[in-house]
Amino acid sequence: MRRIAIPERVAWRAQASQLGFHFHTIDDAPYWVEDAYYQLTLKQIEEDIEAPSAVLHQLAMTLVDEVVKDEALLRQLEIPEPYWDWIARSWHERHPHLYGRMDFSYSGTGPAKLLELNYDTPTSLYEAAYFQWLWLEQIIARGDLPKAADQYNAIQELLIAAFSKLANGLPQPLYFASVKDHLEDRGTVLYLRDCAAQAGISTELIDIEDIGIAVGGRFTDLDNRVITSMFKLYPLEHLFREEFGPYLPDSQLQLFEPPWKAILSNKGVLPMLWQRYPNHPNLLEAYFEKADEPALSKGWVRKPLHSREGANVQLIAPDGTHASQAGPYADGGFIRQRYHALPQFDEWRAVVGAWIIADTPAGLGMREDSGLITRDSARFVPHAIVG
Amino acid sequence: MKRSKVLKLAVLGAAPMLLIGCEEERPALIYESVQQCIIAANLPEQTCREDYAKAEVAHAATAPRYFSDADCQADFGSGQCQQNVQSGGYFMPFMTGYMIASMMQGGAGNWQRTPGGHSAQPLYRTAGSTEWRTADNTQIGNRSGAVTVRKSTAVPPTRAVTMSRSGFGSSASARGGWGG
Repeated sequence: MRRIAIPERVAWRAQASQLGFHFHTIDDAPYWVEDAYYQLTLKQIEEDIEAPSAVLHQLAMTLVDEVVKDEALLRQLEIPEPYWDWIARSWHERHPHLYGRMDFSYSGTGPAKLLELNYDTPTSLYEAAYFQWLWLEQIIARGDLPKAADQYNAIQELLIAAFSKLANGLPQPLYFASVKDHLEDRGTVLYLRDCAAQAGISTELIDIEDIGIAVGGRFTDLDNRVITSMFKLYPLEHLFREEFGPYLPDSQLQLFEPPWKAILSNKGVLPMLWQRYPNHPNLLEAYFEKADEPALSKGWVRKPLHSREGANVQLIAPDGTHASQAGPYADGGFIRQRYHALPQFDEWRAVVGAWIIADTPAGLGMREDSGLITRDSARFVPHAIVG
Repeated sequence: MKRSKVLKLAVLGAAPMLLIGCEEERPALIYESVQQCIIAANLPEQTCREDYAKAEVAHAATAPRYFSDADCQADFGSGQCQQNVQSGGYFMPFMTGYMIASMMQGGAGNWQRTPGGHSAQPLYRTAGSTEWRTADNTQIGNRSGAVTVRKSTAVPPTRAVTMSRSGFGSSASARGGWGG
C-alpha cells in the first residue's frame, strides 16, 4: 500500500456540488481530498481486506445470535432492559439490515487488525460508494492511471440490490430520517434514498426531530401519516434513551438499521469477540474495564462502549506518547484494546474502512488523520488497485 | 473487476431521472357511483357497495380540508363543497368517485378474487377538470373503469392523530452529528 500524489481533477468541486456532494469541505477544512490516492494491489485487497472482513462479519453475526439469548451479555453491553425482547424478536424474525463498516489498521503487510465495527450509523458512504468510483473513471479517462487500474467498490451496486431484495415485503413509503440541519448526515440519507429509489421503493424524507407519536402508539410524519418503515441515521442507543424510545417496541415500525444492530454498534463486541476467538489474526486483544481498573498503561487504548468519531478515546502508545479526544460519551462503560499503530504515510495516519452491504463484503474507503486517533476531521482519500 | 461497471444517481444527479417509470403498478377500478360499479360488472354487487362505504369512511378522514367555503369552491367548483362538523368544521369537497385498487401485483381480472387484497379510497375532480385526484392530490388520469395506478397510489396512507413531536433528537443538540 502506498500513498501517491496525483493532480486533482479540474473543477471537481463544481461537479461534487452538482452531484449532491455538498460536504466535500467541512468548516473550511478539506474533507474529500484528491491530490493523492492510496494504491493497493489486488492481492492486498482480496486476501488482507475482503476475505477477513467476510470472516469477521460472520463471527459478529454469530455473536449477535448468542447475545440476544443472554441477559448477562445484554447487561454488559448496557442495553436497556425494556428493549431486550424487541431486539431479540428483530433478530429471530431476521429483520434485514443494509450496511456496516469495519475499520482496520492495515499497512499493506501482515494481517489487518479490527479497530472497531460501525454497524449502526456508518457514514462516509456516498464518497466511498459513488464519488470515489467516479474519480477513478475520470482519472483513467484522463490517462493518469492505466486502463487496467481498478477499485474495490461494488458498494452502490450491492446497496441497490439489497433494497431491491427487500422492496416487495417492505411497507412503503420508506422514510429516511436524519438530524435537522446536519449537512453531512443529510447528504448520506439522500444518497441512500437515491439507491432505494433506483430499486423501485417509494421514499419520504423526515427530520428525526419532526417524528410524531400518535394515539395508539404509531409514529407519524408532519402530515400525520403513519410511518411504517424508516431508515434512521441516528444511533439506536440514543433512540432508546430519548422520550419516544419506550414506544418503539410496539410501534410496528420496521427500522433500518434493525434493533439487533444495537449489539454490533457497541464497542463491547470487541472484547466479546476476543474472548471467543483469542489470538484471531484480525482481532486485537480487548477486555471490559472494571470498576477498580488501574490507570491506562503503555500500549493500550481506552474506548467508550458508545462513541463515534473517536470521541472520548484515550491511548498511550508503546513509546509513552499520550493522545486523547474530548467528547460527550464519558457517562457509560469503557473497554480497553491493545494499541496497534496506524500506518503513516507522509504526515497522515490511514484507516481502512471495509464496507459490508447486507452480508457481502463490498468495498473500501480510506480515511486519514494527522493524529493518533481518527476523528470526525479525518479526510477521505480515494484508492485504486494497480497490480 | 472489483468495481461496478456502471453507476448512476437517480435523484441527486445533475439530470435527475424520472422515477415514475420505475415504480410497480397495480390494477385498479374507478367508478363515479355504486351504480356504475354494478353495471360494469367487474365486481360482485356486494363488493361494489362495501368498497363505496369504505371509501366514504376514508373520505371523512382524508379529504382535502379548507378553513373557508370560498377556498374550497375555488379549487373544486361552485357548490362542490360541504362543511363537515365531525371533522372540526372544515370545508371539504364532495367525493365524486371511488377507486378500488389491488394490493397485489398481477394482471387485472384476477386481483378482485383475492380476499381482502384490495383497498378502496375516495376520488375528487377539481373545477373545470375531468382528471381524477386522490385525497393526497395525486393525479391518476381521466379514465374510469379498469386502469393501472402506481403502487404508492393503490395503497393509501394510514393517518393517525399525533399527540406530540420532538421526542427524538434531543441527544443530537447535545452531541452534534453522527458520522461514524
